[in-house]
Amino acid sequence: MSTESAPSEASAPEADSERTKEISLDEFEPYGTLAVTGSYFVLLLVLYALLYFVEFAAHAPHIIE
Amino acid sequence: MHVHRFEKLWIGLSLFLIAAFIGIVLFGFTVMDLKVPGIEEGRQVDPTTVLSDEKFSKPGVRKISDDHYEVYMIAQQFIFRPGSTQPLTIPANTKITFHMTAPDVMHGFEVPGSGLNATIIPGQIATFSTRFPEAKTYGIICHQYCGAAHHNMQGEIEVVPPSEFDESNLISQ
Repeated sequence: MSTESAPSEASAPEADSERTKEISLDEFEPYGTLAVTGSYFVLLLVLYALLYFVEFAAHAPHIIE
Repeated sequence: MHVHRFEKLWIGLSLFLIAAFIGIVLFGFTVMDLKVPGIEEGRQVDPTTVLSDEKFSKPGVRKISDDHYEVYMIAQQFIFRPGSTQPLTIPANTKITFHMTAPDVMHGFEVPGSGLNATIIPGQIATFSTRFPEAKTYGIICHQYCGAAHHNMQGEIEVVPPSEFDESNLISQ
């Protein structure tokens, strides 16, 4: 690689625009966000079940009528 | 309108979550047969005269049958009667029906670590039935702010084995 072909600071914006790729909405796949949201969803369900079935419903004595 | 498939998934999961919350509560109150405290329907008391009411003038434990006792309890600033100055003593593995009211302000009745929790409102009689499975001492706390010494409003329930339950302390009918 010669120094002449290396991108200079002046040509950097041009090089960026060359690397920019337009994609459609359906091609955008935020799997990271999906994973974070999914873990939060599972956590919410597990904690809700724990709160309801263990903390609320399982502690004797409880109201029988 | 075009919706991304991830967003469709999130919308679906959100709806599922709401359905799951409702479903779990319905499951609890049907299959698990959970109960919540109630009030004595059609029976209102005058908070200013409730201390001279037939039952509430002598709060304590009354015997209904060998397997059923009832407790009339007054919650007032800042004690439970009975419960605070002396522990409420009741037998284990026996049906206990609580009737509670307040002559002054709203109070709470909670046995920490259990499912027993009721709000005591002047003019109404809060009621529920329970069974204490084991003989041990339980605490009672007021969980509604009721005044300057609310944080000191507490009591004790002493659950004793049925064979050791002293019936001489019962309130006569």
